[in-house]
Amino acid sequence: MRIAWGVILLFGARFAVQSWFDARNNADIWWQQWLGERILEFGRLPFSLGNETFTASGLPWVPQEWALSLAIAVAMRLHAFWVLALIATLCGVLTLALTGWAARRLGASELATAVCVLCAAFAMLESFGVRAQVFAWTLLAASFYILRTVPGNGKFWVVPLTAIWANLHASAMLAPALTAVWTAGVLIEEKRWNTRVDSAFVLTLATAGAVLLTPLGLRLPLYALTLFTSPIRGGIVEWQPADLTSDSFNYGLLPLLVGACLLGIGRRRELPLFIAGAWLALGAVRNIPVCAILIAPVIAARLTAYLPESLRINQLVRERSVMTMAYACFVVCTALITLNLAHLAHFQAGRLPQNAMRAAAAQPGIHRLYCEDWAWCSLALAHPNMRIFMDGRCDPFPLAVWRESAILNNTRRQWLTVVAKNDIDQMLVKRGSRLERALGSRTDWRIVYADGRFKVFSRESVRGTAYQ
Amino acid sequence: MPILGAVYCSTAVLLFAAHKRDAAPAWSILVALCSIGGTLLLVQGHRQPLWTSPPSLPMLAVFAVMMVSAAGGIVQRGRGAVALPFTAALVAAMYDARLAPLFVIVAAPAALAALV
Repeated sequence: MRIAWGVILLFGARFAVQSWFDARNNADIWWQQWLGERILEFGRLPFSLGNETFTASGLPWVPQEWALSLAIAVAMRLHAFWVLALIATLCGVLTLALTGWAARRLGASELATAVCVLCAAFAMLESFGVRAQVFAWTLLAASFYILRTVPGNGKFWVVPLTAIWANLHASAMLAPALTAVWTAGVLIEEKRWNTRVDSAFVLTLATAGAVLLTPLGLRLPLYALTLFTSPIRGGIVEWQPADLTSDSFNYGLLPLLVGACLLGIGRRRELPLFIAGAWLALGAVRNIPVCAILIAPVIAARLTAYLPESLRINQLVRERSVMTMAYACFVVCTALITLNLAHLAHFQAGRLPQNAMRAAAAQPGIHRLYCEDWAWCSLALAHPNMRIFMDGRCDPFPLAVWRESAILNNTRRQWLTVVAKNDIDQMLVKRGSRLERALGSRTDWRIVYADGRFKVFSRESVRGTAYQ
Repeated sequence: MPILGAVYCSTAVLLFAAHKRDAAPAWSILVALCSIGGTLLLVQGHRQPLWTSPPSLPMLAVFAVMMVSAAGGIVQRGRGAVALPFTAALVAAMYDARLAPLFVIVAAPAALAALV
């Protein structure tokens, strides 16, 4: 895996910079910090939305990312967010390493392994951050490394991994589903129900039980099932089907899919997994890394027929002088990537309206805030005088709230009615947007904050500023 | 639509000719460039993404052909020259769902032949 380690080093640098600046770019960190603080204060998980929102107070909520939220709250209290950034980076690196090791164990050559690790790394790039699903990828990669390479009862190590996964993120529901698909593949390959199939079947049942080993109990699988059919998915970018506009798809998953089609998937046990992974990824952008992690080792093994170990380049990497020069280049490139990315305005300034939110919260009284991008309102949760229309938790908010958000953002005919009905008295908008132009033309709204990217408008509420 | 249909038919004819000539690489490149380039010009400004929710018929057809391809492997059994038109047609179909029949014409025969 000599060449693959060089690729992992380069992407590790990218992941590290992305994680370091994630608090400035990832709004979810702020509602997760708020959730973690609540858990530390009250000693239990909240299972409903509170009065921090004025549109959905009291509605049920499944805080599936409670473990990461607790970690973020503790890290922020200790001014040690860098620790979480480091852990996220290491998880990204470990995910790629596990993918490469699985490829080598399946017989892939040096170069073929490096090519597929590169594709898997690109597939992870757009979704990477200090996010629960990033830790879940590592557990997914570890689970399928075990399934593919560990003989006998060693495969049951997947069960505790699934239990950990379930406490991190609801995507743990993929574990029993994909294990069931794996069992189907084993049955197809064995052509009869034997001890191998029996063992895989028992493993599937065990992983299904493992997802219940969380403080959420049955709520977690029920939440995951409702999310699959929820109409709000249409409003979330990561739930949209894969498209050629996504770099993670174009440079990550698409080469792997094309490779699978051209070279074949090989062993029959892998075909159901490939079908399931491809369907998941093509149906939702958020599953692109999942599919890439699942299929990259198998594609690397198939690619080896055309990039065998006997190739001169695969022999060259065994020479110490060659690898010393190569790693020296990798280290220099890593340093350059880190320095250049760290100075990019995109990372330095961040995408979140933190100054705008502080200005909005500084206005005296209690306010009902609408954010043009609902994720921004996660920043408002830290301010006790702010009540929000909808924030980054998004899925517990009912469909009616989503529809009203669309009406406001597009300033459709009833938008003023929606404002009045909800008594919204502050709006955080993007400069140049339709909503910003509409608010700017009204005399009852005044600008209380403006910078190069965001504006905050405020007005007198009908009920005054003092309400619960 | 008639123009698209004519392009699909001409692609099928070119492919047949390419296979009859033992699928020489130059023919494959010609097929890929002519069919993809020509139909992309036709569908300018009216892009319809292939992968949709809920699934559409073109999406299901392309997905099915991809899975049949993966089961057998297109370049197995000496059909390597189909690799380039296959890839080009797949990318074109992903760009615009109206190019999905093009991909099916290019890929389905080779995919079924590799599987059988």
